[in-house]
Amino acid sequence: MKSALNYIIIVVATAILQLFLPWWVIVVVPFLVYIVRSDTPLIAYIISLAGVATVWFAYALFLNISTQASMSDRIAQIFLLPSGSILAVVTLVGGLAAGFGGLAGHYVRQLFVKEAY
Amino acid sequence: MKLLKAILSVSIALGLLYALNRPWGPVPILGSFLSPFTGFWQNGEPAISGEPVDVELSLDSLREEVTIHYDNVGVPHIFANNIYDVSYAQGYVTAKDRLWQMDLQVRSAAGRLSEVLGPQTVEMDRRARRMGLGYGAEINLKMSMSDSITREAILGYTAGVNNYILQLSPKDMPIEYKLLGYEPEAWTPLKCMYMLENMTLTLAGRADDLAMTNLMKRLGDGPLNNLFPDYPMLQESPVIPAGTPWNFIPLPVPDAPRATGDTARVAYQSLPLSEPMVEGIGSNNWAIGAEKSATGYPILANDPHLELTLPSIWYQVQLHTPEINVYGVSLPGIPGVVIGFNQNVAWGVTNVDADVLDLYEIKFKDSTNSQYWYNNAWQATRKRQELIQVKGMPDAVQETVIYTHHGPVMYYEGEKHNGPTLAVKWIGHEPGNNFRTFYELNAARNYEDYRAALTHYVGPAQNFIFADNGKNIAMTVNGKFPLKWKDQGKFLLDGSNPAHDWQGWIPADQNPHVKNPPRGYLSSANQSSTDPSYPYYINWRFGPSERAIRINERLESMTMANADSLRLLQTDNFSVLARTILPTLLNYLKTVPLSSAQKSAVETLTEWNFVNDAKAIAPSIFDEWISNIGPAIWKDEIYSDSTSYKYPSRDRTLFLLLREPDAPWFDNIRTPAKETINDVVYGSFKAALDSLTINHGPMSTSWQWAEVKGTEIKHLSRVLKPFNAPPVRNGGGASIINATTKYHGPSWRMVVELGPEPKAYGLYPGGQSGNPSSPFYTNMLDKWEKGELNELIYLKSSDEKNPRLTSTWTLKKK
Repeated sequence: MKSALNYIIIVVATAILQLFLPWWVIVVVPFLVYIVRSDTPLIAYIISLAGVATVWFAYALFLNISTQASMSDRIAQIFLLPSGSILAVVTLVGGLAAGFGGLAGHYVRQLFVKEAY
Repeated sequence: MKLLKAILSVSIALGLLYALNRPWGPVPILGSFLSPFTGFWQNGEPAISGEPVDVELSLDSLREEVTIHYDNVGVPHIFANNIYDVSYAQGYVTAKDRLWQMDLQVRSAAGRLSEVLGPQTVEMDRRARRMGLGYGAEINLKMSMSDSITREAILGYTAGVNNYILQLSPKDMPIEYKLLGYEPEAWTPLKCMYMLENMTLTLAGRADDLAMTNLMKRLGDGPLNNLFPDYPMLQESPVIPAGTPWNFIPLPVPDAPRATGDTARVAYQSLPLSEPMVEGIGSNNWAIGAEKSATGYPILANDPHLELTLPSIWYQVQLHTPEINVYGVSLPGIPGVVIGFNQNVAWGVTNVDADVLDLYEIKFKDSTNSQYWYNNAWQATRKRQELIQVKGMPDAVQETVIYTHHGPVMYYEGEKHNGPTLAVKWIGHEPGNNFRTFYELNAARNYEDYRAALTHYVGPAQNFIFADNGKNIAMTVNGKFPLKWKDQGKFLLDGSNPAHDWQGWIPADQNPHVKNPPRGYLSSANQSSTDPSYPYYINWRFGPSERAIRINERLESMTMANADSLRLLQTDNFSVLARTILPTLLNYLKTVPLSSAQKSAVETLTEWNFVNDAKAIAPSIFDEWISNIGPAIWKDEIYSDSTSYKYPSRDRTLFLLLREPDAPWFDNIRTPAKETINDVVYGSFKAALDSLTINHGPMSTSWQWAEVKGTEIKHLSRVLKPFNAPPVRNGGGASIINATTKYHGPSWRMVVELGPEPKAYGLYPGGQSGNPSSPFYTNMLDKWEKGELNELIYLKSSDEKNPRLTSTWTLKKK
């Protein structure tokens, strides 16, 4: 339940903030979430990754479908990526960066809060 | 332990953030580039834009409301109340479609590529600075800004581009900016001038002076004049029909100074290699008079040949104000229409290839380069400090360009080559107001307006074809031409001798010109401007004659022609070159024992109708053969790996093959044996087949002309291959009217039927949008490849309905 809420916070906050702020809010948001809210390091990592991956994947998929992949196919070729893999690559990069943000938030919290993790 | 974990995890998060927030070599800032919110995803465009949307914008520094109707090809039809606003809107919509292209072309001319591309373009930038493109742009700007109309056009255009850039958020920047990791900067009036300098450089930025000087040393006067004559020896069909009277009293032309030994000071030594002129940069235009047309009015056609790239070189636009209503193609970065038509007139251009770039040998007093020897005295130079900023380098590269009264110094003695110090005298440094010419042509109502418009034009010199609905056709070989002694600038000039200076200018009204000739048609295809009776020297060499000969043959026999007749002529694939020489070449092979593969190649060539069709095999064999014959004859005497050289022209080579079969040039002086024309013809034939077999396998469909020619239309970056056009498979060739070669070709085809209402057709191999994912990136390519044209929508007023109009943009004053 707690994880579900954290997940929703990350999804909603990164989706909205990215409309105004640079890409790196996907690292900052999970970091702040797990400074404020407690959970195990593994779950902090996974929920952060999943939250941002969801946002990036969903929006990229939407753009990809609505533009018939007319740009992403060409970018994939420039970066020598197998066709169709670019969506996964992008999702993974965003997710990993966010995951480490959440993990860092968790461990910074541990410096100040006594918890059984 | 807790602290360690915290430090470690924060470090990893920050490290990732840092790594993804900076460029790595050619890799852009990945975080923002990959993000669907800001990155490349945002540049995607749907293949079929659903319901077209009308747009209303309020914009700064607009004077009155502007209406823009887009048609289904992506062409904006702009309606404004004054020249400032119409130029503003043109700037705005051009930037919307082509911003990065404009940016790159200005950077290339201004020597500012390294700012965004890094150290590998420093030498290119240095050349642009030394060529004095900035100097030329600045003095041309003064001229254009001192004219009230062109000033309005340039200021309006600049404001339009800048207001587009101002509202552009980072996520909407063209994909090339995101990939290269830089941002658009403000447009300026000077940048419009750089675009003109760029065109002048492309079309009039080369000279053979070095190659010819070297050959003079090696071959001597007699053979040199024999091999490099000033007028084609075999066949020519000049732009101004032979026999056209010159109705003026020419200025006295100074005699060539006697060789004083000064030019002989140029030792036979290594000189910097100049880039050869590529065959393929050229153009066709023609007009037929009312007596040859089915409409009872003239019909005009133009197809300029340039390097084919994406985004396309041209941008179609209609501009409407109370004074003008013009449709045609513009160059992104320049206000107005360059080639087009209006209610009453149509015009087009082809390159003249005048000798307007000369190299002067300079002798400096000392290593400070502050004085040079001229007219028996030391004269002061001027110095212009140039700073080339380089991406990734802390310090700018400093370049001091030295200016003599001739022009800037391009090459220095002892620098990379061991030739002399050379200054360049170039038409690109001459002040003028080409914008005034284009504006007046856009607004022209008749022949007199056309003639008046041309007087403002400086360069690059063009053959301006013209037709109007008063049933006139005309051609002017137009530009500011230096008054020279015969062959002045064919060889290196002596920068210390005043007799070697340009001697003034050919009066504009004495430029070669013809109106309504008895034959009922006019044409140009980069060939000799006039026959030798013209009293002035323009150049000693022009484009080869084959396209002109074919055009004139077809126009001569044409009657009751309409726009479609001229469209078919634009895509004519007949090879005058093959007709001229192939039967003779095949004759020489009859005495030689041939292998079976060679026999079947001969058979293919014998059956050939001389048409370079896409699927024919003969043109591939002939093309490879003929391009081997020149070197087979000339290489032993002329080729050099250390100095500039130039082979005799195709016309001279054909003359040798047809009329001088016993000439000593056929002997290969590097072998003890005595070779003859038979050896050259067979040897080059064998080499051609060998090379085709190596590259394409044994003779089969893989030898089809379209495959062997392999036309490519590359993205301007040259390296982003996925942004290239799909492979182009059409006919044509270098000496063909349909002048499509590997990288060059008809960059715009236009046919205009004059009359009470103009009817016009046209397209170019690309599309209006510069976005590779846009449905308007290459939407005209298929039709272009097939040789078809689009009907162009010429609206009389903003209210006019047309089923092909899709959406309307309204620009309102803020």
